[in-house]
Amino acid sequence: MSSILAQLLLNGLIAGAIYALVAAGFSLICSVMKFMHFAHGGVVAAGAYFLFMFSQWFSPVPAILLALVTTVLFGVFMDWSVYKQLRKRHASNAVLLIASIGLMILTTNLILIGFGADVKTIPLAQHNPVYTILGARITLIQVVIIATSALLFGLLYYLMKCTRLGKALRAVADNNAIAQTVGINPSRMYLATFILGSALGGIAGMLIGLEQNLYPSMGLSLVIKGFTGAVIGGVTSVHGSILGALVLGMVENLGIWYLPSGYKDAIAFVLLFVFLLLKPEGILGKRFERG
Amino acid sequence: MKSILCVENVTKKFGGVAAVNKCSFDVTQGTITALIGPNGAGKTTLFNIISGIQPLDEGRMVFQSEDITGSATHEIARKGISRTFQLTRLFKNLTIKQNLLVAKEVSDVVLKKMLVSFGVKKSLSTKCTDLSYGQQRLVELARALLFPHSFLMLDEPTAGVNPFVREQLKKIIRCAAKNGTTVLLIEHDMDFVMSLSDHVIVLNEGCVLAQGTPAVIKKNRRVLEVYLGK
Repeated sequence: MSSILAQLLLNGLIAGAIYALVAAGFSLICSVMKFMHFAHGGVVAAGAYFLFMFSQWFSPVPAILLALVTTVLFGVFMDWSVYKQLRKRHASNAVLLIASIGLMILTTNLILIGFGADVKTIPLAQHNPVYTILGARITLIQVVIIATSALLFGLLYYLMKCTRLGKALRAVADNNAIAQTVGINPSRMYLATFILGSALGGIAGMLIGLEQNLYPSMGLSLVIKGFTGAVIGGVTSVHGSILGALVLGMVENLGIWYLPSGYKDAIAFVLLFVFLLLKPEGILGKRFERG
Repeated sequence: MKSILCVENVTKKFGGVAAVNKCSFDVTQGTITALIGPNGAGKTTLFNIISGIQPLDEGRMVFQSEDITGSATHEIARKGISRTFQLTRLFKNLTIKQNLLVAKEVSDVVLKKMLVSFGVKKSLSTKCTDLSYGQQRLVELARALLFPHSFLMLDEPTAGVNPFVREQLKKIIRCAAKNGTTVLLIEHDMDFVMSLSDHVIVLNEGCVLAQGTPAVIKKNRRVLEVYLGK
């Protein structure tokens, strides 16, 4: 029994780490830009597929770096080509939300056109030794997922709390108009947000791609999990979103101790509805306001 | 005396109503200038236009011999124009320290010293929402002063604050002016304005009604009629 619990906890931690990476990028963009960037799922999927593509031609390190850079450029391009144009026209949050859903669908279709509908596997993941910790089995890639996530969360915390860029991002997230009166250029902050958010999403996509199979609509299910984690922890709080996503991963995996594994998504949605109804601001977040 | 800010024929309309109508004045470097007028005279709109928060419809503005008409808010701020707001605007979710460091990177020692001199006896890690209104006013002013500037715009600094904070504000503004900052302030408290300002500009219905020293303005018949209702 204890080894089953250890395995479920470990699985929960792995799932939570992946969801948290997705949620962190989603929440960062949401807190600064004040809209739900559901196309973040497309960026996550793009990260996985770019790694798949580059790993056909290059060795692991250049393939990962190229995939990361391309994914970031893809995320920035989304902002530049759609959101920025809509912001110039003073589009409402509802319009931006609809645009983000459109972009998500468009990205899924582009992947379908470019890579086909069949399931893909990243060749880098073929050598994957298994370790046993307290009776629970964990693969090398899963160790990498947990370690990379922990490292990125540490770096993100440092960036947001200790650097001038982080302070400026938090100022814009808090009140864009006042931030400008102390000389902060909002356009640069939006660009920085999309670079950081897309990098987090891209890394999440690559890690998921190493762990699981790739399919064109993978981004949608991941952004929904990231969004659920963000709602649980607080959409406008990056740290809250990470916490919420970890809680989601744990609850999903502990839930299937009692329920068939097919109910994983149902567990996530029940948790989403519970938080939306009882604590919509999440564990650490503030009520969502237009800034 | 050199002009630091020149406002020329500035007009701003909301619908068909001109909130600011062909308004022109100069602010002399190193002075404390008060912008007064009845409610709806266009004072805050003018502040928002100067700081780039609202675009103007007509006219131009020159700051330190540079045309700033149409510049973005952050560009105007970086040229050295710092401001506070009529209703205190702090970064609500940030602490006092984080609010101040957004304006300029300085050590905790400097920040603490500044707050003590302002009469704010609170820890730097205090959330701004936990401060009284008067303390929030002072922290907002501290942020505006900390931000590298040569021109400080204060929108009703004494609104809603107690007499102690009011006196603190007076001292701080005088000290800033003494250190070379040019101050333009909107204020309804006439004792505060008359005791502090070198120059007073009276706005009425978006136009400059009169301007001059406090002593001249006090005796101006049109000002008394329009502004004081006599």
